[in-house]
Parts: sequence; C-alpha cells; structure tokens
Amino acid sequence: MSHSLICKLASLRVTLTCIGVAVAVALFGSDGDTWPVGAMIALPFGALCVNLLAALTTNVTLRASAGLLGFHLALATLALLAAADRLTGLAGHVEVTEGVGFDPSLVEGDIGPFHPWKLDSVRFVQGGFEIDYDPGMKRRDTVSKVYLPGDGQASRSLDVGDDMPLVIGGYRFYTSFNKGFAPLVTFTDGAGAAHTGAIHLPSYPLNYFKQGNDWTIPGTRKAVKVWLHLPDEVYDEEGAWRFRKPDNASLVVIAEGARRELRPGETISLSGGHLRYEELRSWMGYTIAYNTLVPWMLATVVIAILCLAWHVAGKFQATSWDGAVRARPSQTGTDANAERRCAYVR
Amino acid sequence: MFADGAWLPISLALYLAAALAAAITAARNGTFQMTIMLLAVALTTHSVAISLRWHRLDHGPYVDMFEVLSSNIWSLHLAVLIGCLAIPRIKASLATVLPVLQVLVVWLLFVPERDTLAPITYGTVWLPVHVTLGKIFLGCAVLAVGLSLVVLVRHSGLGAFGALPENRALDELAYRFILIAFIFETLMLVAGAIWAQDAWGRYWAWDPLETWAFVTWLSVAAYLHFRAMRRPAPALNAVFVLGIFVVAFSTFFGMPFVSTAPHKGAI
Amino acid sequence: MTAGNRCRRNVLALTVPIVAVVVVVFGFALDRWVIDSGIEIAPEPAALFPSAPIMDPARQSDLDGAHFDALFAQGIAGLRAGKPGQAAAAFEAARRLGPKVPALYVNLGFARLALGQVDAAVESFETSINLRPAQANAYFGLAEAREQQGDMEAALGAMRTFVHLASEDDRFRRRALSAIWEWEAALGRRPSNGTDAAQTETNEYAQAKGSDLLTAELGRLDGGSGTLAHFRGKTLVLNVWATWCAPCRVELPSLQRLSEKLNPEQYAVVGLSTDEDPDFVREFLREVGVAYPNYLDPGRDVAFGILKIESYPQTLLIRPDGSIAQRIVGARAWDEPEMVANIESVR
Repeated sequence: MSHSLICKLASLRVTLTCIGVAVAVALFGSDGDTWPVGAMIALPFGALCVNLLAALTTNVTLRASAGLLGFHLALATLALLAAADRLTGLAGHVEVTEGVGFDPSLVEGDIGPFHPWKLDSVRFVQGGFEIDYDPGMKRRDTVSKVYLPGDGQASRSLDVGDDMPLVIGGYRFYTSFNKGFAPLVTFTDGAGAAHTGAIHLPSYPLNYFKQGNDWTIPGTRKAVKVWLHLPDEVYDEEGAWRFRKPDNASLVVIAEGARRELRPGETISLSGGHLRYEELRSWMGYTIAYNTLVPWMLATVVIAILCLAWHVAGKFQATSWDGAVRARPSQTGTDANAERRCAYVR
Repeated sequence: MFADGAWLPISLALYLAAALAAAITAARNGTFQMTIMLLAVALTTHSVAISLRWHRLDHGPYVDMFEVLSSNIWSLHLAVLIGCLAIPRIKASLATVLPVLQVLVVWLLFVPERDTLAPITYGTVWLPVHVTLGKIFLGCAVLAVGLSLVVLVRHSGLGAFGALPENRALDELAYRFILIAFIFETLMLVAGAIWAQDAWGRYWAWDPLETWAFVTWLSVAAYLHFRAMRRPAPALNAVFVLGIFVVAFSTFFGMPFVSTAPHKGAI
Repeated sequence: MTAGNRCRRNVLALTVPIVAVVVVVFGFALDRWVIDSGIEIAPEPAALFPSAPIMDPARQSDLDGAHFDALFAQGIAGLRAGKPGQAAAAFEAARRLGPKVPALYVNLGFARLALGQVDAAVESFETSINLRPAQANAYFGLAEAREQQGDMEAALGAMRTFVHLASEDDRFRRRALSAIWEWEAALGRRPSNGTDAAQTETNEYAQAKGSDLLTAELGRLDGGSGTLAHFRGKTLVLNVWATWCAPCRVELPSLQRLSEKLNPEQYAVVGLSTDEDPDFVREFLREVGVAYPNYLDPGRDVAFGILKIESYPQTLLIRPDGSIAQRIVGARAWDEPEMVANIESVR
C-alpha cells in the first residue's frame, strides 16, 4: 500500500467523518426504527478501525504512549466483539402457556446469522405466576414458577422473575410486562380426533378491554371467535392487587352466527364436531437474551478505561495543575501541520 | 424539623443568591467569599432535602424528572464548589458558571413534585454507581464550561476577568476537565450497560437516552481528536466545549424530559 | 532507524499482545467467577415433558407463502396485460392461501371493476379497508366503484379519504382531486363561478353535512349494516370512540346513564366505534354495561370522511334535522346536570 494512501486513511478527516457518520446513524436510526442502528453502526466503526490501523503506522504520538495505544486497541477490540456478539446473539421473545412446555418454534425476534441454535435443548414447563401491583397500576414483583426436568420422572420447580432470569444453556429468560389469560379448548371432530389448544388472549391488564381472539380450528378452515367474559374486574385501578386467574370467568364462543357462553368443562356442538372449554390458564411472555461474549466485552472496556486513565494521569503529571494554571508557552500553530507531516515509521 | 419539601425552596433561593453574588463580585473585582459561603449553605440545606426525601421514599433521587433535576442541581453546584476550592485561581469563573446552572434551578420550580416509586428493576447497586458516575462526568463538563465561557467573554470583549489566568491556561484546564469527564462518561456508560444486562438482558438497546449518551461520547471523542491533531486557539476550543455541554445537557435533561422517565422504554 | 523509533515500535509490539491476553484472561475470569448469571440450568438433551400444541392463528397463513406470492404476481401481471378475468382468477386462488392480505383485495377489486362486476368490486375494496383502514388505494377503487353504482355521496367520501391517506406524490392524486371536483359539481356542491377550489374544499370539511351522516352506511354490531336515518327527528348525541382509546372507555358509563336520563321520544345517545371487529365491540360493551345503540365505522369513512374527526373521543350534538349543533372534543361526565341541560337545549 502506498505511503500517501496510508496517510490519507490515517488522517483526522477520516476520523471525524466516521464519528459524524456514527452520530448520524445513531440519531436517525433510533428515530422510529427506520433502519437497524446496531447493523448500520458497523460501517463507521469498521472504517474507524481501518483509520486506527493506518494511524498506528503513521502517528508517532499514538505509538509512543502505551496508555493511548492500549485504549485505542481495546476500543477496536470492543467494536469487533460487539459485532461478533450481534452476529451470534439472540434477542427474542416468546409466550409460554401455564402448564405447557416452552416451545422453541414460537420464539420470535432478532436471531444473529451465526447464532448457534441451541433452544431445542431448552426444556421447562411454565407454572403459575404472581404479580403484585401497587395502587395506581404500578407493577411490582413478578414471581413466575417454572418446572425443570429433575432426576428420572421427577421435576423441580424454580421461581424466576424481573431481574432474576432463568438461564438455560446461555439463554436468559426474563419475565416481561407481557402476560395474560389463555383459555384451553378442545375440538373433537366427527372422526373422534381431538385437538387441544390454548388461545392466548391479548396482554392483561394492558388490553383488558379486548380479551378476545380468533381461533382457527386445527385441520379446518373454520374460524371461531372467543372472548373471556370477566364479571368482576381482576385489577383494581385505585388499590393494590395481585394478578390472578378469575374464578368466575366464562368463555364466550362466537361461531356459526351464534353466541354461546361456556363455563369450564362445558361443550357446544359445531358443524363437524364439538368444542369443549377445558379451563382457564395464563400465559407468561418472556424476553430471551443470548450474549455469550459479554464477559469479554466487559474485560475489554475495563482495559480501555484503565489505559485511558493511565494515559491521562501521565499527561497531568507532566505539568502540575498549578502549572497548568500558570501560562504555558504558546503552542498554537506549532503542530498545525502535524498531519501534513505524515511520518510513515517503518 | 421541616419536611423535605420545605428545605428545597430555601436551597433554591440560596443557589440563586449565590449566582447573583458571583455576578456582582465579578463586576466589582472582589473576592468570592460571600458566593462560596452561600453555595456551601445552599448545598447543606439541599443535602438535607434530598436525604429526607430519600429516607421517606426509600429510593435515591433518580426516578422522575423532579428527582433527576434536583439531584443534578445539587451535584453540579457541588462540583463547581469543589473545583474552585481545589484550584483557587479559577474562583472567578463562578461568575460564568453559576448563572448557567440557575437555568436548572428555575426549571425545577416548574416541575411538579410527586412521590415516586422506584421500578422493580431499580433495586441494584449498579444504578447508584451509574448515576454517580454520570454526575461526576457532568460536573467536570460544567467546570470546563465555566472556564470556556470566561475565554469567550474575553474574546468578545465583554469583560476582562483580570483575576483569572490568561486564556491559554484556562484552555488547558478546561481540556483537563474534559479529559476527566470523558473517562467518567465512559465509566457511566459501562455501569449502565452492566445494569441493563443484569436487569433486562440487554446491555445496549439504542433507547433515546442511550443513543444520546453515545452521541455525547462521540462528540467528546471528536473534540479530543481535533484538539490533539490541530491545536486550535482557545476561543475555538471554548466553542467546542460549549457544544459538548449542549449535547450532554440535552442528553441528561432533554431526553428524560421528552419521555418523562429516564430510560422509559426499559421500565 | 533511530533508537527512538525502535522504542516506539516496541510499545506497539508489546501493547497489542498485552491487550489481547488481558482481554481473554480477564474476560474468562469475569465469565467464570464474577458475572451473576441468574438461575443457571444445564440444558437437557432429551424431552422429558410432553408439550401440548399451542395454535397460533397468525402462523397458518404463512404456510403456503411461496405459492401465494406466485399467484399474486400472476394476478398483477394479468391486470397489467389487460386481462382482468385471468387476474381475478389468480387473486381468488391466492385469497384461499392468504385471506388477510389487504393489497390482494384491492387488486381483486380492480380486476372485478374491469370485468364490470361492480358490487363484487365494492365488497373487495371494503374487505381490504376492513383489514387495513389505511390502505389508501382501496379508497380510490371504492370511490370509482361507488360512482359506477351511482352513489355519488359514498364515492366522494371515499375519494376524500384517499386524498387524505395518499402520499403527496401518489400518481393517482391528481385524478382523485379532479374526480372530487367533478362529483361535487354534479352534486351541486360547488359554486359555478369558479371560487378557489381548495378554499371550497376546506369549507365543505368544516361544515360536515348532517345529511351525509344520516344516510351514510354504517356497520351494525350484529355484523350487518344500516344508517342513522331512523334517528331523524330526534336530537342525537353521537359519541365517536374506539375500544383502544382510554378516555373513551372512561366516559362510556356516564353516556349510558345519560341515555337513561334523556327522554327517548326526543333524544338518542348513539355510539360510533372505529374498531374493526363487531363481535369484540359488542362483548366489550356488554361487559361495561352499555345498552344504547352502537355502530361501527372501521374504515373511518364517516368519522373521518364525513365528520373530519381525527382524535377520540369526540361527541357531536346533532339537531333533529341532521345538522351539527356542537362538537365536543374529549371525555366528559355526561350525566352531570349542566351537560344534560346543554343537550336538552339543542333543537
């Protein structure tokens, strides 16, 4: 590579342009998800890495100070690790029905192209959960019970929730604000084959006014609508309350032009089979995070800061603070041409 | 004993008085004894107000706009006081920096004071660490702003500030404060990321406050590179420092204000 | 090469490996001993728990995605080639695979329109709007179809909605504006002396015609459709709302109490919801105990197209002749004596 090209790549102009582009990407990208900032920011940061590599060969000051050099190298490492983390990571979400196992095929979200998919070996069964609310609908502690495979046929239970995630195989499952009710229904067709499904109703109490959903009966094109009728409100806008499944809720089934209200265990006939409302369950929404490189990113950033502090401390020691207050010999202009004097040190 | 609500107005009045005293002292070329005393008393009463509220609500002042603003008024004035006591020759910059800080004081008068409840994910040591580091960052930036304003006032011929060292020395000091601010801003970002990774499983999610804090960091980085390579004149450096402060200010007070709670998206 | 240079090179040569080694070792230490990893469980190789299936209705439509895309493209090609029959057949086939794609119904509508099946075209456009109320080109198609049916009022309303929704550079915009101009003239709305077009249009919006409102087609909660014509002769309290709008939900009980207080011979409280699903609106109203009549306007043809309402809740007091007496923006306590007195003053 020619000397002048390296000098150009190492120039301040490249540094400032890259920083400017990074600012633009961050600001415009975060404004309404026009593009994924996390992916786009790789451009200016990749360019900054090239800029740094070039400057390593030309910039004498940078090479002379171990602190400054270490800081820059650590930042470049951090950028690479962050990119690697995004390519191998997973940031998803999933809804799990009470009494039902976690189903990896329902996970949605950002899955890195090189993510080592190991969710298929993640097994847990959602138990019940309790969420306390303070007056004014302020959500407090979430305690979500999950059952894990134990020795032999036994299982053991664990309480997770809020900032105490369930971690399996590097996947961190955090309870989220998203949770609700899920009526369990069974459709038995004319041939006697039964299909059971849990219909997840919209998040509660966020969507308390829309506790309904469409359900297409498996194996048919027949769609029914269900609505959870709650005679008494579960939540209390004024006082403290706890998320629970209501005792007296009934399931409204709207199908074939008729509206029918079912208690748990009741069955209605539809053309082609019977629909039975088994019981009311709940569902918990989890956010899932997989970032195995985090410890190394943290180590990198700690080293970066130590190097920077070292460099700055050395700078401060060169003249005392009092000395800094007194006039120092004028330096303006002496290094104004520093960049043009691009020294390619072999 | 007054309730916490009563201590605050007293403190705010004292801050305003200190700023006024600083301006008058600078005009008369006097010593800043009175300003520093008023500042010390204001900080004491404000500490009482914050402690009482902390004790009553059982969480630190970092939940809503009122608390963020109040605690930053406290920490920024404290930073200015410490700076001037540690480097007595820059005391006269109180006349430039205190009036700037009164913007926050007046603003606080219009922010409603409500009892707040800390969200459940705020129960971690990383939150106070994150907040404290941020306050040190902003405190250092404010000291640099005070000195830069002096440089600009002299440059525009509006005042001489004879008691202060010459521009080049002020510029060097402002640069040092910015360097320290840069370290603490980096630390603040890291502590925030650790907290976020712990509480929500994401160390960085480009929420508006994160994005703006990152932009602030980049703007400081750009300034440091520009300064190291081009060695600009003090007046230009002063403009850069003010620019950084404006970005940092909108990050700290603009973004939480827009979304009513800091890191709204995450709660 | 000077001694100084060698020294600098040594710094570089030393710093790189030191940073690399420290990152790896320190990171490993953090991973191993420091970072709290929640409740950590080793993954299991085998299934120990039976997992009941969870049916997700949204997933079913993805099944035949590729086939759907092919049919859709075939339909578009048919339309472009001027073969609406082929296009309609392709879209019909695609519909069986992806019954919830708004763009599909728009194109099906245009194909049917080209075939002269106007009623079927109206149905397609309306289906599209029901699926996605902001589907701008569906309103354009609907307007053309309504015009062919001779329903100029409806055509005008739909075309105005299109102009409102379409982007500034939509190539159909100019055609839409000239159609509005033409149809308004046909309805005798536009002064013939050539007043500034934009000005007239604004005025039309501002004084939304009560007669438009009473004759406009609305969805009923039982799934059918109807108009407000049978309320002519009564003072109407028309509350425009939506289930997702929190202040709207707050004022519903007071509107119900109001409806019980007013003399039913002279007054009526009527709700107009912009929700999409009549069944869910009906169940919600049952839950909160609202019994006064409610209608649906999912495409906002009336709420926006005629009444120009952009924020909810908004309540109109309508005189017995169908003209608008008052527009009340925001939620109110409707059964307060002064509110009742105000309503009873409208004649």
